[in-house]
Amino acid sequence: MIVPVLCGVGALAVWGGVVAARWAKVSRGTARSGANEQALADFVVRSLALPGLSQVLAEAAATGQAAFGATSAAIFEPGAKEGLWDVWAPGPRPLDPVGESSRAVFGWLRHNAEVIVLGEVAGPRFGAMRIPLGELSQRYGVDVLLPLVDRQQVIAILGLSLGRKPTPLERRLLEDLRVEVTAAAANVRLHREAAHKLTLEKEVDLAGAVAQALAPLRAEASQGRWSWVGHVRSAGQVGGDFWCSYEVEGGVLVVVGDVIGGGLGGSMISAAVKSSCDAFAAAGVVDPATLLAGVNRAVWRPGKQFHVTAVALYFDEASGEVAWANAGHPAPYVTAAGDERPGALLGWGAMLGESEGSEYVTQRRSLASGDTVLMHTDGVPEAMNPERVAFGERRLQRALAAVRDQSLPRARDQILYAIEAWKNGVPATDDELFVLVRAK
Amino acid sequence: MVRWRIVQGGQGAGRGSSGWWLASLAAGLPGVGLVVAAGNAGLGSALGLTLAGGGVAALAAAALAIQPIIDRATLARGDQLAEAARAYLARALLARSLQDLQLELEAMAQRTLGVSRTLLIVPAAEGGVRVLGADVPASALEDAEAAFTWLGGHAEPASLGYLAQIGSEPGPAATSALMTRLGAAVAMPLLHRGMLLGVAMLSAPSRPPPDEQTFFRILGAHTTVALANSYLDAEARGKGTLSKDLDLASAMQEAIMPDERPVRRPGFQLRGAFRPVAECGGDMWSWAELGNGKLLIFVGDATGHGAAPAMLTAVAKGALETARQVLGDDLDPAELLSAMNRAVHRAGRTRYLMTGFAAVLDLTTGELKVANAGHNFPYVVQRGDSSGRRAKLEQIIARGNTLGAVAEASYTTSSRTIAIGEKLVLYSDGIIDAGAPQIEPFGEKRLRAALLGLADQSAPRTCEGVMAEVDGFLANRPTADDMTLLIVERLAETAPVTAPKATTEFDGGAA
Repeated sequence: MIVPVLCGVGALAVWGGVVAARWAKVSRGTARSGANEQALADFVVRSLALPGLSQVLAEAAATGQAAFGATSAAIFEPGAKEGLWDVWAPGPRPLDPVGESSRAVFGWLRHNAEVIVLGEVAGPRFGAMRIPLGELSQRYGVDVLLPLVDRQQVIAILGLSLGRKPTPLERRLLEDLRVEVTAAAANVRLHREAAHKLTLEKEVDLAGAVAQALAPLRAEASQGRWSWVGHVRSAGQVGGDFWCSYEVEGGVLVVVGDVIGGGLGGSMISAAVKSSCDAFAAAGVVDPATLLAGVNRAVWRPGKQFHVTAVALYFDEASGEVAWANAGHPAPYVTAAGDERPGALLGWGAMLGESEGSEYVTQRRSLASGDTVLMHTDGVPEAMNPERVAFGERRLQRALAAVRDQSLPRARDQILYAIEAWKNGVPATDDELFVLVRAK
Repeated sequence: MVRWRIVQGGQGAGRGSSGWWLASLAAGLPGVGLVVAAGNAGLGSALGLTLAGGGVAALAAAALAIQPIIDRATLARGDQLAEAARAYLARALLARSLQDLQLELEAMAQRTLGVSRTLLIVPAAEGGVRVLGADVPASALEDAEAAFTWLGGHAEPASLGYLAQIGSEPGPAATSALMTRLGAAVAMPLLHRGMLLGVAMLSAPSRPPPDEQTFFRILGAHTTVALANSYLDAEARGKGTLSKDLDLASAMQEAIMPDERPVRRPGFQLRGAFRPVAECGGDMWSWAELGNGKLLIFVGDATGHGAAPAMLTAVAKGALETARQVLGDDLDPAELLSAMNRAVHRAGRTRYLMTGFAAVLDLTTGELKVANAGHNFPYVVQRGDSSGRRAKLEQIIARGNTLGAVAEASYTTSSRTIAIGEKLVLYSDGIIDAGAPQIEPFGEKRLRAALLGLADQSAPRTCEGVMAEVDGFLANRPTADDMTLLIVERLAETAPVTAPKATTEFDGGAA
């Protein structure tokens, strides 16, 4: 009888021992879990109140240390220059710069955004990254990496030094921490970027206002036998196309130009060109070739690459002639009574900014009463319809011929209407500008 | 039958798994009872006892085998909820639209809390608000403004019970009424950096969390960060294009500025440095040989820094280069400033102004003609010599209106002599203000000390030395204003300076 009882008691004792051991183990394990949970639970709540990325990352490092008993932490951030990384530890002392081999790891982590335990890098998942990952671990004393990747962009990488292999539960919680820190860090980054974008928009707007101030004071004007109207629409916030008109003694000087490249940079160059035109006109320089040569010298810089096409026309009050010179710009058109199709005021010359000593030739022709000259930039004939077919020079000529008998403002509106009808809602990709000058 | 006892709360260590082990022990107790009973019943029960012992051992083995599953199943309720909230965050961050976000919240609340109704209330593009998660009649949202205002200020989740407790103030009352109309029992304001992005509302949970306030605060934060990141991502889109645009503008500005490499020509040598604080800067500098042994130098500083002042510098540069051509070697600094004033006034419309200092140095006679438009007074540095004469600094005092303040302005040209070996130092206030406002600025005193310390150096080396001093002073700290420095030294060589190529005579006549 004793044997079975002893067997039973023995079995019970074994079971009790197992129970006690398991109890102790799980208690320790769950104690770790409980602390983890507590530290992680409100991470996002805490981090949303933090002002900057470094604070969020420092908070994440502190949370990693509190929740997992990590002895130290390192933070790797993309540096100001592409391909360079900064590394720092929460605290006053910065770490050494990231070594060359470690940079490859960061590029790889961009596509492998999950917790990496550096003790397990022998696995096939890590491939050629085994060696640099090992070096990283050694160099910075971290054994767990949390890549913080948001919208295909690496915000930072948090490295923790646990000094042991994390339990499966801890591994799961580390992944949770990674997600939470990513969310908080992305929030700070996006907030900063959105704020920066607003600043940039404001900056571009203000710059556009300065450029706009150089536009002709009046889009419609007349002097003596000449009257003129202009239309300009920038494809972006600021444009590189420009026109200037000067009511000078003895006639009217009109310059139309287009900076290759456009945008704010183009607008800056066009501002310099317009300012130069203003100064030349103020000094009484009205000969188109002389003006273009002078402006070219004013904006040309050795070894600098920017180009401006321009055409300058001087409408002489006394002679009724138009004199023009061209610096690589589309030829202006002129409609004359009796002509079926507008003729072109042909001319050749290097673009402004192309070479220091560019010279230009002034040509002349007479204009009769009612003749209309149209100057334009290439954005007009290149306006696309939904089928990606350009408006073209031929249609522009026809549009000009069709408005020969209209008043000048109405002629401008009709040409504009023809362009818009052609585009049929397709947004412009280039600035559109044209100016009409008519002999009364 | 084993009854799993789930410990509620989850904040304390080990509650989840200890709960399971208590349950295991309870399941084992009948076995112990059986052993005791069998002992009393005598030998006939030996088989039963053996079976009992074996059963206990089998139970222990089974317990070990299923331990991982049990561990997970018996996580404290609070821990389970925290885990669910984090899993929700991971999915919510991937939501492509507000509808997706609402669906993620709904799925989580339904599965974890047994919530039947989940609403996400966000501002509508056309004004007012839109409710995602249910068709809500417009009448239900009437007078919602008071509720949203209160929730935005309250910044904490609010349940109907809590609202009833805090009294009948207009805000809580309106919130309570709105929640009742929408069939909600909990409202979570989604407050991001002081801005109410929306409100998430849940109906009464059938399995409420143990610590409702904490859990809903966390859930609200997770929803907030997902919603905010989605909004911010949309807002930040296009920044890359703008940045590129500004980078291009910066390149263009650089293109219209002179090369910063040292220049040495018969009669002079010079070096300039331009350090904008943003992509584009508001400072400018220029030099040009006017012909007949005359050298023009100019340093200017437009209001502020960034693209708009940079645009103004482009305008000023156009005017300067044109005046240089039109006036040639007759260029008078005062006349130049008047022409530049007209251009700056037109473009800046008095909103942007520019200070500027223009000087024309006759390299043969050493006569220096200067005119000032509100700019810092330049220095002339005299070297020390072997006879014991110490290096000396002298400021050129000249005054005039800032460029662009009025449509027409006149300036006065004054003159002095620059001896061979003397250096003329022009700079923008970004040099002396370097470091401000974060630290005490570099200041005139340090600039003077640096110039005296480098008095025996050539103009290019002096320029490099001063910039190195400023950099050392800043020690990588940011500074608030663009910095420009231009140093020109008159040399002994008196070889004739060739006039600029292709100078055109502008007679101003009609074409």
